[in-house]
Amino acid sequence: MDKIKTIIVDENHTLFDREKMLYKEFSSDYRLIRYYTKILIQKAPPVIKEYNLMEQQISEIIKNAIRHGNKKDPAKIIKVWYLFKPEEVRLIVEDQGEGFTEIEKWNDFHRRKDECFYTGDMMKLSEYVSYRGENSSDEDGGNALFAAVEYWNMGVVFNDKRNGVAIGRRINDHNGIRFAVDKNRMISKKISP
Amino acid sequence: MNLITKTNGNTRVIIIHGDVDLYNAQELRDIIHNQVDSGIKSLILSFKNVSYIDSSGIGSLLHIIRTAWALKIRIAFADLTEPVMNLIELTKLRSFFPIAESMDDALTMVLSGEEK
Repeated sequence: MDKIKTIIVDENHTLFDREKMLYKEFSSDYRLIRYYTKILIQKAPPVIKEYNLMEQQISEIIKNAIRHGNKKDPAKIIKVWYLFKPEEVRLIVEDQGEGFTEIEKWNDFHRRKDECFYTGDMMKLSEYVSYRGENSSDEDGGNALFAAVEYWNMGVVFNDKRNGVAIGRRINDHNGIRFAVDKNRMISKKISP
Repeated sequence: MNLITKTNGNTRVIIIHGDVDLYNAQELRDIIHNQVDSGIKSLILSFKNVSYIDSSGIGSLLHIIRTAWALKIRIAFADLTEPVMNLIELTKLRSFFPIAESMDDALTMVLSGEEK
């Protein structure tokens, strides 16, 4: 069984090292989330092929900060530190909200979900397809962080106030992430390029 | 996002065009509610023209699947592109999605009443 990933809280984590990172501030304009993401990702070197997935994953972190952190309050900003290198992508996104107080609850929910995944208990998995927090609404897919803890393979780490998150992805090859479906077994497997 | 709908008997195929993201996820969710009272028995969503989806879109698809089960509408997803498949895989919810290899397979799935 692969190790079940968790969100951690540790503002002394190396992912919070801001040295050499670029910096931008954005307003909490929900309509501009994908635009902000495109501004950031234009700094990514061309050798990185997984733009599509990377854009999507960065967009989710920006969305969380604007929607759940700043609650779309136009008076509040988000602060973004970012670093794109061929072998490594890191971001720190900080909002001006009260912090993600439900990290332990989310980790517990996610652990139960992944246990179903690894044991193949699909009936039980159906209870865990969407995390609903205290402030969740129909706008929330409830699955963004499921993918985030898998994609950001250097970690998803919050600061002590929990209003700032540091994420990092180490890129071992530049063929991007590709999956295929094994038609005979109807299960998914990752394929090598 | 644009939706093109084709209906043949009790089977409806909806071809999704464009990005599926936080700005139109609600519209996608409504696809399934719009089938109520239509008499439709089978629904196939085609993703061949979707090159971007986010967690809101995935959430809408999960809602569609569960609502289809409740309404006893057979459902299949066809022509999934690499970006759509990649995100489904990352969520580790792949087994929950009624994914068909092709439109022909999707038709076979819904017409046989078997999702997998």
